[in-house]
Amino acid sequence: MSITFDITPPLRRAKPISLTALIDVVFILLMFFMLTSSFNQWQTLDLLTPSEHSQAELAAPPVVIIYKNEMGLLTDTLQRPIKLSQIQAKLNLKNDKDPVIISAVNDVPISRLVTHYEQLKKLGIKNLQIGQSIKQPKQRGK
Amino acid sequence: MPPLDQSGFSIDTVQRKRPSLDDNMIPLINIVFLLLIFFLVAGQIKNQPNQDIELPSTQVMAKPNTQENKQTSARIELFNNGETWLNGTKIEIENLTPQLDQLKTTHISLFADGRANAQQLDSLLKSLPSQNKIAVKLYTQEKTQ
Repeated sequence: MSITFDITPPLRRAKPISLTALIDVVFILLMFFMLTSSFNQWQTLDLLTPSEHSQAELAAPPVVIIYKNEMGLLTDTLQRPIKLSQIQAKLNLKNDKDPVIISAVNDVPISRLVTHYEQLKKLGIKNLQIGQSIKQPKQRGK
Repeated sequence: MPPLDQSGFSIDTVQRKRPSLDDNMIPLINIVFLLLIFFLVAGQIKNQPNQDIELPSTQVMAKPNTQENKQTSARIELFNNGETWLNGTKIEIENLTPQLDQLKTTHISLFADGRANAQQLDSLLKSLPSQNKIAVKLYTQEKTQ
């Protein structure tokens, strides 16, 4: 006499997966990514530290000074300010790797310093260094 | 021929499934999934500077290098009022050099408020250790056209 076991599982209807739990998780993920994501694109510019400034100052590179109340100004002799568009000709750089120092008057906001830095970079000056901030020099004429 | 109802449409012999509450949520889930995928793909999760800091805007400067060694890089925030924070902690500018020396910092990510003035930036740069060569990167925000 043999005993047989019926091991086939009873047929069950598959329960449909509830979407409520899924949407809960997806909502939480959505909230997380909405709150933590950033769409701002950052850019960087290299600032040279004062030790490198001092080395550059020994070679007496031209200095671009940004005044407080003027638009974009340059002086390499601390004389009359000139327009930013004329800077490249006035700088008279033999090599685009020659250092140029950009300095701002004490009260000039960093955003303006950065704007002029970028404009000088666009002119093709590769070795641009941030110099010490200075007091507003007296202008001899315009 | 299948039986017809009063309006002339055929009545299926198979019992129609009643729409459950979950079925009504499917369009909602579709939209939420689309939003989720959008934020996953388009957004970037990065360590934001303090909300009070308005970064200066630039157009064509270099993109930040994400491969920097985080162990030797420090993050400095310069606020509009001249306050300086090192790696999320307020610090007096005189204590900056010893702290950076202790951390053996070789790279500095500088988040400076665009409204802070050049003198504040200058005093910060002067306070950095001069004997070590530290690469300072000033972070800016890409100008939107």
